[in-house]
Amino acid sequence: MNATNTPAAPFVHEQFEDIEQQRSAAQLGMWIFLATEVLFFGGLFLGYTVYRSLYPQTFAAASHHTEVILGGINTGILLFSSTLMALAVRAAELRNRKQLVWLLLGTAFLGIVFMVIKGVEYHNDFVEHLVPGSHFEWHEANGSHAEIFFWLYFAMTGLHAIHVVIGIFVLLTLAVLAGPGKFTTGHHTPVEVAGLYWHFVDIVWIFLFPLMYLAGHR
Amino acid sequence: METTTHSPGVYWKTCASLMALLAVTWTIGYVNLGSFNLVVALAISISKALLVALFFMHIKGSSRLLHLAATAGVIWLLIMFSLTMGDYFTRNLLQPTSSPGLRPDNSTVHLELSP
Repeated sequence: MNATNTPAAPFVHEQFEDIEQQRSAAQLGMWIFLATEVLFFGGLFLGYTVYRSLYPQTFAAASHHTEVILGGINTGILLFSSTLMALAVRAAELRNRKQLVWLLLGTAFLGIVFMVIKGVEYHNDFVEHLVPGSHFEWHEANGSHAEIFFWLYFAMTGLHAIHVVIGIFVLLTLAVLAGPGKFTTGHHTPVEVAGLYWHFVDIVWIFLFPLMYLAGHR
Repeated sequence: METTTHSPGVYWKTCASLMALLAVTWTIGYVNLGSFNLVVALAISISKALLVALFFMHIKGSSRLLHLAATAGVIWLLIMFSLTMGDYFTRNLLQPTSSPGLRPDNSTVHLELSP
């Protein structure tokens, strides 16, 4: 044993030299995961691109049946929640326990509001017979092409919604753990990495909003 | 204390910029620019994504290793898009009448994607 070694802090796992190395490994791991997520969502965005270039008029017409007000409000909510998340990471780094807990709860709350609004939208879509399948009704031209738009709409916003729900659970878990001070004693990596995930989910929605709600012009 | 995060002002400025860009994209959605609607919408979305990545996700000021990991996903996405769309856009060049390439919506030909 080298006596000059400083004793490792309790939260450094044995495979790491120090907390800084552990932190950069966690960050790299999350970024690589996010790269796979880019391609996961990318497949759906590619499908959207192919069908929109095949049926541009029908996609524009179908897009007019989405709830642009609710979608726009939801975009603002996610952008604001990302701001709170970024401030939460800062609060964790500055070891401000109380502020961290409130910012995590605030971010999760905005995520829940997003999901509630999305639920209202899905309900309206269902009532208006826009859900693909035997229930689907279309009174304009090219019904089967419009149905493809709504398949993509539900697949893409649905996959995004699953990510939001996972994010909400992660944020609430972090808030519970942050209460006793788990992330404000020099180890805030989990908050930082969860933040990267939350911002990524925000970025996906940044692209979904104009593509789903504002295709063509309204 | 040395921090890796920015001051709150940076985050609030980023937030204000994102909200302003949202307002622009939303407004332009009601203006008929023809095919430029899509171009403008995508340009704004890319700007917003860059703001989030640079400031909220701290790509600005992070290591080159993270820059590489962050751009890798985007580069592979571009490869996937260019190969696939390159296929769809060039199908009609080979068999002008029978292949399911990209045609406008009001085409009288019934389109199917299977060969």
